[in-house]
Amino acid sequence: MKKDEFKKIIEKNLSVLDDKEIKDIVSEYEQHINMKMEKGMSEEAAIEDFGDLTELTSGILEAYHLKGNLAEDTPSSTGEKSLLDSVSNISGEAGEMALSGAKNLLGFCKKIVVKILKAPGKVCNVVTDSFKDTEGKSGIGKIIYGIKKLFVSTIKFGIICIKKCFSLAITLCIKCFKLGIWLFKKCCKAIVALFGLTVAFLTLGCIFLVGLLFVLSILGYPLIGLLIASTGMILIGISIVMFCYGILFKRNAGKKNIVKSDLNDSDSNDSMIKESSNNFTDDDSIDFEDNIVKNIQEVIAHA
Amino acid sequence: MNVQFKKGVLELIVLKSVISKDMYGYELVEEVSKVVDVNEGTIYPLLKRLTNDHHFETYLKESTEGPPRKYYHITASGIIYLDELEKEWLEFSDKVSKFLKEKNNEKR
Repeated sequence: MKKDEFKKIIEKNLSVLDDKEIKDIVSEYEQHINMKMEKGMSEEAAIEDFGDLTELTSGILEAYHLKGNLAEDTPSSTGEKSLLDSVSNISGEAGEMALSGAKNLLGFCKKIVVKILKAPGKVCNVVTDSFKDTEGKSGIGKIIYGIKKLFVSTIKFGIICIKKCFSLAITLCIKCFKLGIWLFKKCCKAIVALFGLTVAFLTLGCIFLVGLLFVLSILGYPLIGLLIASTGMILIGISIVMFCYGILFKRNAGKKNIVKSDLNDSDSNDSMIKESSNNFTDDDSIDFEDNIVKNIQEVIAHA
Repeated sequence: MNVQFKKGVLELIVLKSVISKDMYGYELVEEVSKVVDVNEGTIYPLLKRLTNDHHFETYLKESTEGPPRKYYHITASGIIYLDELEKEWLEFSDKVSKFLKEKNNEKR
């Protein structure tokens, strides 16, 4: 092997690395080979001393905590996907969506807990503040004034807390509700799919039955009635299957985006409400609930 | 020599070689080859790993005989790591030697 081929192989196997790194590594090895050649070795022998180049480059990639097999020629996956693969993909996606929905919910709950925990700190601040501006008043007057202020500010604070809790609770309920609906929809789809599959198998059975009855009726058995009945069953089965197919795959195109954007929610309550009211334009039940929320929010804001 | 023995002890030898003076790749391979028979294919990935784990630092130094050479210098964390390895090795080889002695005495 000559130096050029050596260089090419190293560069190719280490192509995932930064260009600067690759250049650095290759020039170091080139230098090494040159030094060996100066001592009298031939180019081929010097390069042979590096051993198996794939092993060499795997070792280097592992030094960067990369997978050693990136150095090898991994055959890229062909476009073929078996039915099992696509089924597992879909269930994987569904699982991921459920997971991300649950995570969003969890993050939301965490924020509420943090806010509740911060409340005592705020209370302390309020207490100290209310005793601050009592300069220039008599002793007892100070105390009375301080207590008055404290009383007023606690009431105000209480009202604010209640308002906040209320709106937080509502948004939490809505989120749970939405997640529930989404799960329900997915379950329905799964049920429909199962039903469709069962009917499909039954239809196939009916086709077999028709064939059997046809042969028997030709042989002279009086089975023409049953034959006609099973042909009818086949037609019914086919139409049910097509119906299920329509439910599963035609609604997907429209609803997919809506479901996805619903679950990629941002943090604040308001933006969540806004988003949801933008997305669910067809669904009557969700509209209704959004109107309730909007009304409540307005009431709170005006209060 | 047993390949597994070599692999285990290579880091120790490489780190120890660089303690007294900074060396460049070719020099290091020569030094280590005096102790165990290794080729560049084993040493260079090891050097890369030790550098990426910050046990070595590298710098380029001009040389009279060609392009600048990359020198390897042991860091503080490298020295600590070397001490640990050396301790482990001495304990280990001690135990193994004792064990072999015992067994040899038993046979007789």
